[in-house]
Amino acid sequence: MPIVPKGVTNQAALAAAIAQVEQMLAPDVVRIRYTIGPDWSGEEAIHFRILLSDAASRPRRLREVTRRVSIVISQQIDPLNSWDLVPYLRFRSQSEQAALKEAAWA
Amino acid sequence: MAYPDDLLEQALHLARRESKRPRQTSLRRAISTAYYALFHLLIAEAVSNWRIPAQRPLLARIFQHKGMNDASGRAASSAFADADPRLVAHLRNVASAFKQLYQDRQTADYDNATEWSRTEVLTQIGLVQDAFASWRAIRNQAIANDYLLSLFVKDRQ
Repeated sequence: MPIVPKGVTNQAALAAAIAQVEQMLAPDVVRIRYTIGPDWSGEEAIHFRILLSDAASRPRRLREVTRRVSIVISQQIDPLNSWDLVPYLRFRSQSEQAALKEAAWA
Repeated sequence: MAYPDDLLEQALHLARRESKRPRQTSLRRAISTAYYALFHLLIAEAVSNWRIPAQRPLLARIFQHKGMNDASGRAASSAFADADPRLVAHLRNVASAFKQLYQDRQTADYDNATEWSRTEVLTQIGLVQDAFASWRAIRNQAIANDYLLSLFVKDRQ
């Protein structure tokens, strides 16, 4: 019998945890959007879309910022162990999103 | 013939093309190429343990994307209670990068609805660069060799 992930059964608590991390990571992180759903292997996953400020997206800062965001998400949210969801992270800059205008990142 | 470093360099080249408005094809191929850089690094390392060099290219063909992804998922989330935490951290870097890039490569190659930006692509290539560095730090350790074995031996638990 399939197990329903805690991230699905308790979405309000997960949203609160993500909102808290979003605040912790400001101003480098402008906002965090996410979707819960299966990955390409069929495992239940959380797909984070992390919008960075243009300053945080500059080449000399990008690696440091994205490493820090990944660590904070892993430690503060712990998607796999606390919510039974495999985490996937993607990062985009504000100016890139302004050009692409994707609703999923807005 | 193994060429993971060349693939990684080519991924960066593709990601940096068209400085003002990168084409989606360049960004998609960059993601796919970065994935294959890590894929071939791990396979080259695994088959290098085979004693007969002439048989290594044929042996390399037994590796399958899904099996490697499943094994990487297990490695990324295992406790490794008795292992040196520094080695475990390096192994997790490698395994979680493989899992992330497997997902990204599937999306880049097969999902035409997803748009990519240069920042997204450079970030994922950075994960592979970090994975290369982590691998080189642990490649002679037992924990790394156990991981290589898990990439082609089915988990029966």
